Amino acid sequence: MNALTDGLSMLADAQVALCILMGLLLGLLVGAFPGITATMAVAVAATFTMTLDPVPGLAVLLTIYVAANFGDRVPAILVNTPGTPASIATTFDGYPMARQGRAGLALVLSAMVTAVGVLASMVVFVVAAVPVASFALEFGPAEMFALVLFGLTVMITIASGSLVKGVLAGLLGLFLGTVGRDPISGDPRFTFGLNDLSDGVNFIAVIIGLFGIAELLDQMLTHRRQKVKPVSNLGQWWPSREDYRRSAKPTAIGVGVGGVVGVVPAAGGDIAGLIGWDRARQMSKRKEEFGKGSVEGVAAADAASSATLGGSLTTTMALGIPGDSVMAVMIGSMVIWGIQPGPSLFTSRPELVVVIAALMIIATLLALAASLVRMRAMVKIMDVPQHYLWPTILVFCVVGTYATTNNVFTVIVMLGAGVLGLLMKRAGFPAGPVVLGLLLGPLAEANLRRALLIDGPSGLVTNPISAVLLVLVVLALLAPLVRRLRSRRADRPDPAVTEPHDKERT
Amino acid sequence: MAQQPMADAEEDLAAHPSVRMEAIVAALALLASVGIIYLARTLELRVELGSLGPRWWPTLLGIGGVVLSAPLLLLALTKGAQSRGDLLSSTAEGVRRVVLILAVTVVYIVAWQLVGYAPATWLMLLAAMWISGARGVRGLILFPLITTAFIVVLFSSILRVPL
Repeated sequence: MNALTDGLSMLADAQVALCILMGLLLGLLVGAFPGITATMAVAVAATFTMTLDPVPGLAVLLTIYVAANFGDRVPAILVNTPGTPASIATTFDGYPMARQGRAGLALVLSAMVTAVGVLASMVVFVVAAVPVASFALEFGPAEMFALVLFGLTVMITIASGSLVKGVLAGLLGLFLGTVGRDPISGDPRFTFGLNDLSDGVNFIAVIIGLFGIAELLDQMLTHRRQKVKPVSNLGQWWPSREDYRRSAKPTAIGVGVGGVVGVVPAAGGDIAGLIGWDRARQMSKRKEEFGKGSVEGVAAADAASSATLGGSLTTTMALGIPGDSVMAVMIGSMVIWGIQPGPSLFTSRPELVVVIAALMIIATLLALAASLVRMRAMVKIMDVPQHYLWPTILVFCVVGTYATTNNVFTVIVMLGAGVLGLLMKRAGFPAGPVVLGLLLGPLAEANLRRALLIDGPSGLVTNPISAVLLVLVVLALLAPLVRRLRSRRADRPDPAVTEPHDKERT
Repeated sequence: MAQQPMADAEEDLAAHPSVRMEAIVAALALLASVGIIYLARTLELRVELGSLGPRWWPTLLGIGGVVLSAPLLLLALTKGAQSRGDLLSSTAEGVRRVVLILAVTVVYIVAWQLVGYAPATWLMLLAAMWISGARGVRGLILFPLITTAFIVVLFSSILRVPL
């Protein structure tokens, strides 16, 4: 009861309320602008919130996280362009609905099922976070190393078109994590005599560079005059009773899928949305309507992608392994506030579970209310020319990065990461594993070295938890290869079909 | 944590596969991995901690890099380029924009230290707006002025970050 009252009392503050409103506005706007991802927004906002206390700072970041899940459906439905990766699956049926004059219905339905998804996922967080953290408290060095390796592997297999390029990106991130001081002996490594590198490569600078500047430069590189204008006729606004009835089952399917995907480290709303849409289609009596403007398609996709939030939060807070890219930034920010996500967090600060859950619920309800207002202005937002967005994003990335350390060197690191990120993107290397490797590399190294010193290499496989996790790592790496082999076999023509035809010819 | 995967671009706008690019990138990855191994093995340590000291982990990472990038180079040279259909192709105007915006940003960072944040930012925004295609008083004068003023107020007064 103490944790509950302590947590709620921390929220009863005008500054927290103001931060929630600020996060709401930013999140809705960011979600609505294609090209500005939630990760980018949270990373830049993290630089602003560093001077705030932890609770108001979390209020801003978590509200952006939630609100972006509402805002990103708008361009997905009106312009067939996902506002963030989590709304990719929304375009499958949302845009066709808009083309049929049912844009308003798609927007409202999307907002409602998104709220249901987030709220349901918060049940997962409230129920699972403390037990998972308690279980993980028993983890020794071998288990922690295996868990980090599992998280990194999942990220690589999900984010990469090419497995080899994904692993190379992960290795780069792990290497960047070695810059600075050795975690055990304190010897400087790869600092080249620069004091600015003695504490390592600045994580926020790298993430803003790789996810913010790189994306911005890529847009500049490939921009062409937009051929698709936003649908402006919103049509009917509120769902009918029949729409609600048809949405119930796919929403439930979506919530189930999102709940499972969310707890997998590094798997985010984009994966869940696609799986949820596909599952709902398989289980629907009207399969043929999917992809052509089906309310079931919109409901399943959005419920699934939003239901990952609670699971992602659970993995991040209870294990210290980011559940998605936004959570990676959140971990960086929390460390600066003196809060270390991981198994000991909820033991040392149980009131934080209440604070985080309450902030997510409040943000969801406010974002839902804002999304239900029939705003014709939202169509105009998508028409904002790029020449206003690009310089604004650039200058905020620069000043935000500078604010983290008051050091121009950090800005230079950000720019370097931005150029690297652009080259990586053009060459097919994913940025996610680099960030995860940088964040978790020191943890992986320290735990692996300790595990090897204590029990030797056999300790990694004789320990049951680490053995299971390592088996999962191997399976995760083999799965894409198996999938590729299966699809090659499926593409091969069936000899039984061709034979009779050949016989006819002879 | 996925990057923003784009829906497959229309065929005529998709980036073309490039053997040269794949080979160069793989060769650079191989060189970098060898470089990491060299730098790791030549690290100066205060006390030698045995085989699992500060050199061990970066050396392992470098070896991993070599093991993966060598076959990647071989594949690029023998099996050809991979599809890049999920990317839009770059435009000549786009390349020009990127080069100019990077140059402007570097000059901005230097100018910031010399003339102060507000003037440097206003000029940088003006240049960036022009490079991005803005024209007219609203885009080139008013917007940079308002944005600069907003940032100065937000950071200096509200967030108390010395610029």
